[in-house]
Amino acid sequence: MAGSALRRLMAEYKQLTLNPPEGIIAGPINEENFFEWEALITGPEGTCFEGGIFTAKLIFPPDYPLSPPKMQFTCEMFHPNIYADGRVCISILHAPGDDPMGYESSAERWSPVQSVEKILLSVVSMLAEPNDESGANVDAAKMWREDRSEFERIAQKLVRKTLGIP
Amino acid sequence: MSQIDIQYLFNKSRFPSGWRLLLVILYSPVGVLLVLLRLFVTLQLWLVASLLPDCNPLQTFLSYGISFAFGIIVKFDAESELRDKQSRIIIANNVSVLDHIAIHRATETLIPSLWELPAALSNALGLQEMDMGSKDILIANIKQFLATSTYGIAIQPEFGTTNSKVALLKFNSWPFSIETSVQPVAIKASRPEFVPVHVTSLASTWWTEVFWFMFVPYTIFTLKYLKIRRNSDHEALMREVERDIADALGLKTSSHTISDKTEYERRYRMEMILSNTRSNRSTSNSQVIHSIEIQRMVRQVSEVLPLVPHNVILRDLLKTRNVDVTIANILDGIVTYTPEPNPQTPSSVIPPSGSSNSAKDKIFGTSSFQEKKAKMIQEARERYIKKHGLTNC
Repeated sequence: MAGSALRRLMAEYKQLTLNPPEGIIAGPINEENFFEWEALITGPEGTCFEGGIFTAKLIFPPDYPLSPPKMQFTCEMFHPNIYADGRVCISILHAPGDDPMGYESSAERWSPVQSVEKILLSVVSMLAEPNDESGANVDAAKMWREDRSEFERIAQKLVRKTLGIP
Repeated sequence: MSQIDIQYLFNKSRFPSGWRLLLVILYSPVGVLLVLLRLFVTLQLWLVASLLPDCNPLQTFLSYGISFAFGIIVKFDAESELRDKQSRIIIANNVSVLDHIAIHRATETLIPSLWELPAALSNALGLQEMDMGSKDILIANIKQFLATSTYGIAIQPEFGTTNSKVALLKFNSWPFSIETSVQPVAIKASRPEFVPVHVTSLASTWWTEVFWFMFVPYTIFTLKYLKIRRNSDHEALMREVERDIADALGLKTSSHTISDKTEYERRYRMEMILSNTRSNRSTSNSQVIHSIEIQRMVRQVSEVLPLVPHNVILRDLLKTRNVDVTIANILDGIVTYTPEPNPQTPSSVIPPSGSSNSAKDKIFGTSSFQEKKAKMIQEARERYIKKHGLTNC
């Protein structure tokens, strides 16, 4: 099982290296262990997270891609869909929808046809448009709804922090 | 399970070689006329099925119409067992994209499908529309269908076709968890000797497969019922049935699944595109373009596998002409090499190892990832400082 997971992860790493999506890089932290990756995501333009480089850790299960990986930001984050400890709450990382005949299934949930690249792109769009209904961080969700300017101020502070600018 | 190379499982070309190809060419005017006629009949059938209410005479009419439109003749093998009504699930191998028509005519079963067709037409084709959102939903739907309908259900657990000459694709096990007993059916398909067009070919679409069904005068499906199998352990049941069907057809079982086939097809298509673009180039400047192209490919492979020496990559690329295939060759240990010392991080040099397998895990250089990471942050920082006009940092 772990063998096919490893092959798949190598293939995805290859794909991400050959055709990196704009503003995203990802790869194994340590070449000895392909099941722990680090990803860097650029905050999308035109949003309060613009310009920041956010680092996250991806942990893959031994039966990947049947089960989804776990994703956790390692830098400080303040966002309605990210828990205080950095864990990301997003539909693509949930509940494998097993697909018996290889036909298309719900694109929103995790299934083996998804990939690291799709997860990271989903996270970018999550940064751009928080979903304030699934409140992983209730304070952030509340502030996003009620006091947008304060939310943007905090986000800008975090952006500067990720770049090492005081 | 024997390890059969996946390439032997499929026909790369639909056509025979040598003088037999001449037969197909001579026949082709008739074939094209037949396709036109059959397309017209299909259209009529679809109209009739959409307009008239579903009833038994209509079903019979459609069933014969469809057999004509796709040129399908169904026969039973002389040594066939009888249909055992105790089991309502039929398990069959997959020989073509239109198996469902033959299976339906012979066995009164339907195959789950996603297509929304008029009910009468769908039944006459041997299809039953079902929600396949997930395996569990589908299994629940099949159980519900069996409880309410007089029809049985047929499932082809290969979920893909082969050339039916060497081996079956590995069966999926979920169809065996619906009921504890199933009746296996072995199917063969053949076409007349004077139009030797293969029933399937690699990397072809559903439409082309159907086109060739309409082109040839007829396709004979020979079905053979096998003895009913019972086992409450669905994995064991799957293995028994897989072996029964393979034995009945004189084929082997294999460990290749439908996803292996999809992957192989993708690779095959890519190779075709690449060889087409190469053959289209004029010969005079092909040498120059060729070497630039190869250099670019060497760089691409090297970005992924920085510890593999360039001359090794080049040698394999000259053979494969494909970045993906070469990377796969290196990872699979088909290409052996001595890792290159990495100039950036001399402390982490990996000692040359003879065994290519142990090298497999170590050739993805992560130093280049660390470099890229540092570069990305540095660039973002400069952009930010420039944009916000900061000077004091």
